[in-house]
Amino acid sequence: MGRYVLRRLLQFIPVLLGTMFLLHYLQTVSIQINGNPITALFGDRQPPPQTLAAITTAFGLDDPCLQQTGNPCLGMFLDRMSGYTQGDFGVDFNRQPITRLIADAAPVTVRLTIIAVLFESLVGILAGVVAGIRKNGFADNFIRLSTTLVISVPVFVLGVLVQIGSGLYVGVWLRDNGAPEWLSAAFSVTYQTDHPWASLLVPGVVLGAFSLGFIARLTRTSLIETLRADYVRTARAKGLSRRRVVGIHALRNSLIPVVTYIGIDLGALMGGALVTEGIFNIPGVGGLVFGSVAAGETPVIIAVVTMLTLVFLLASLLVDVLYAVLDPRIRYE
Amino acid sequence: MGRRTTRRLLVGLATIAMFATACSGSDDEASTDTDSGSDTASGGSFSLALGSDPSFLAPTAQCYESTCSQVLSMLYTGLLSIDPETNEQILGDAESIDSPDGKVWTVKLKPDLKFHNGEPVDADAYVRAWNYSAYGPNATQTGFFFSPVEGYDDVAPAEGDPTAKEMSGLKVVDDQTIEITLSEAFSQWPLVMSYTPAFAPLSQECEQDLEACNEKPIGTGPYMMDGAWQHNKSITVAKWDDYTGPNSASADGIEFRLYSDPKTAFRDWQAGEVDMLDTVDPSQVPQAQALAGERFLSVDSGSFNYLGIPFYVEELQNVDIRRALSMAIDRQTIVDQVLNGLATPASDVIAPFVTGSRDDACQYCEYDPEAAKTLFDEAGGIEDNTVEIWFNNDGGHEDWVQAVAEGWKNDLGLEYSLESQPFTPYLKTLEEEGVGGPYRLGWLPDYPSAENYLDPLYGEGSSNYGQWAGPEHDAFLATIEEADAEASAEAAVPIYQEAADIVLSDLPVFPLWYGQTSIVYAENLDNVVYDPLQQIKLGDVTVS
Repeated sequence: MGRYVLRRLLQFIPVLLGTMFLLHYLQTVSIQINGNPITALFGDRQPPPQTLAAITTAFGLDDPCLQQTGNPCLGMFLDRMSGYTQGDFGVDFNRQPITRLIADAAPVTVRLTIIAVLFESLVGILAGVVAGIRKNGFADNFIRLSTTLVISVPVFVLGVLVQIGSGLYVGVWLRDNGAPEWLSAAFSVTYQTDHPWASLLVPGVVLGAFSLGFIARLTRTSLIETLRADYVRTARAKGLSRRRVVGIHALRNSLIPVVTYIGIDLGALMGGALVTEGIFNIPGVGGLVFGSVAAGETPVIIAVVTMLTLVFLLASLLVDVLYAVLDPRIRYE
Repeated sequence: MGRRTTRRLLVGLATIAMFATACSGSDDEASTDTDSGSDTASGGSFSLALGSDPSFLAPTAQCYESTCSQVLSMLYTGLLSIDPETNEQILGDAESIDSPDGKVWTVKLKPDLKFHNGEPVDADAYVRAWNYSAYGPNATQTGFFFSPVEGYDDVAPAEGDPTAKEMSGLKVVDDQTIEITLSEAFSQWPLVMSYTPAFAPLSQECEQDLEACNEKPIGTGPYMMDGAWQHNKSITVAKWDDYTGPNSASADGIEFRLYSDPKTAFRDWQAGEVDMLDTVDPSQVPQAQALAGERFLSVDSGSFNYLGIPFYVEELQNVDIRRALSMAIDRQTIVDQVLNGLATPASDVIAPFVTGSRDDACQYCEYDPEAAKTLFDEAGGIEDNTVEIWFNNDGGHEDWVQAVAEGWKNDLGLEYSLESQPFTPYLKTLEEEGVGGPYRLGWLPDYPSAENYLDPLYGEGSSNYGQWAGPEHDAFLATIEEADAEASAEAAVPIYQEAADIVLSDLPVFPLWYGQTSIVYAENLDNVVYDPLQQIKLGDVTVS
């Protein structure tokens, strides 16, 4: 197992390097085709040539290879990599160090992701199990219908609806009726710095809602299938209690696709929280990525997306390790 | 203040800015001129939602967008400001600004001015800031404001490395006196200096550690930083007790809350979490009007929106074609129906809040479909009978561009094709003379002068993307030069109007409308006034 993990960790290196190069290349081509992103800093105004040149130089965008469409600008890439080895990750167009931007944004998104993952897996698996063991019953139909509903409502609609409902109605009512501060913060319209967990509860639920639907349905299908398996019938024939058969024998095996999904979702939630973060004004990674893509801030894009890639890789490694825990038939080595 | 809405523009804010008439509140607001730090209904604090994280707070010369200049206008007094109603100069740190000839300007500072950290605000503090700003390798965004100063080309040459670190045109005569020599007479210079972020002084402490200063700027104004800048979250300022300058500070404290989406900010305002919004999203304007009543303001933003004409497109070189096209734009209807009334049809190329703007200057801005059709046909029409209209597709412009095009189709029988790109490649296309027809752009002023709506748009080395040229353009340049050389800002105004007349007659752009911005605020606030250059005058806002 140890050697397996080590081998996987070593495989990260080429993947990350490849990611960084690909991002670098895409950004290079984007500048070559779209033009110097500095010009957009001045809005509709055409900045004087000296000003434009000075700022372009200051951000290292004066390399002549940026004028040659298709040129991968390897020199710039090597410079950037050697900067990384010295801990220099560059600055954005506001000259803020990228390490600081990430240090500010990542903890918020991590908290949001934890809430979302806890919510979607606890509620999702529970709902899936309830639906699975009472196949075609009322609970099953209800869960199937409600999860379809949740999956089909786009997050920007759901987010705004929940925001108005919880923030403008419940939240204001709570505050007017003297509820404790943390409770009204939990139902505030936007993220509040003073309540870093409470005010993320509602956004976390919104963020996790979509995946919750998937997880519930995956768990249900998978559980129904496992319940038909021979070893489950054997367990039942041995006279084990229904709770033990479902909870220990069947569910553990059924969770493999669910765990895979949650693992991939972890990475998606870290980067894909853009819409939710925007609606609830949460200063997280999603907003950072969006803003830097819109402005063409290459160093930010590369650093943040590479970080997200790393999260994906770690999550998928974790999932693979969990397989062995969940299913004794799977062995590494 | 040169407010290039940069990222906000990409997010689509450009659309909302629209409207006219400085219809803002109250009459007692222009109070900044006389009362020194007057605080009639003083006390309390309030919060203002800003649409994005400011770009820079220090060095101030990096501030060239609206959110940072809104914050900096509280932290700094500035040399002078211009009253938006009367257009009179209100001196701030300056005691007097004089010039015998428009070329050599003497700025006398008031005595005993201090930074928030106790350092003196003297001639050195100003000249230090200006030399820092202009020096090429510092790559500041507003350094070009100093291009009229003698020696600017030595510190920021168009080619090669700078040969000097300081502009030869700046001279510290004594602690209180700065002598500024321009390379040519420029009557509007005091108005240029009213853009505070570009001309604010720099303390020594700040100069030594600009990064720390950016997080916690050291200003000179009625408010000082209360704690450091919480990026993407908030900036809090508190009244500075030792302030001696003329700007008012009614509230004890102001919190700037930083949002990424104005729609979210509006819902926070509804919930009572934030007291004032500097921008209401167009989609929420009807709701804001219904909820806030008189506490919803639609104010002149100073922006001037137009369709530029590429002179390298042959069929648009005929002035009669341009006049016909301009006359066939029903500005009023588009403003009312497409822009929800949040703009004012343009009647000049100079926005109304600036001295010299006229409400009847633009003959070809009057909608007259018959005359337009006659003129268009007499001039021989356009080859292929098709016109391209260019715009950037990330600013919410599509609807009104379509309306203009439909108007041309109905009135002139002209077919059209709409061409759009995201903002950065759009600018590149303009730069490379790649557009095939009228193109959308807008202008926000840097300083309150008619000149600022003329020379930077159509002059040499300017945003003259359309390459307007020819005898009319030469006459325009000569007129601007003549006005620049006038002895005073006021005397130059009629000559700038002549230059505007040349533009309005030859139509290198079709003036469309003046922009407007919407503000909404809470019940406990009063005396909310907007000035297109200083933005919301937060120091005047009273809290009850």
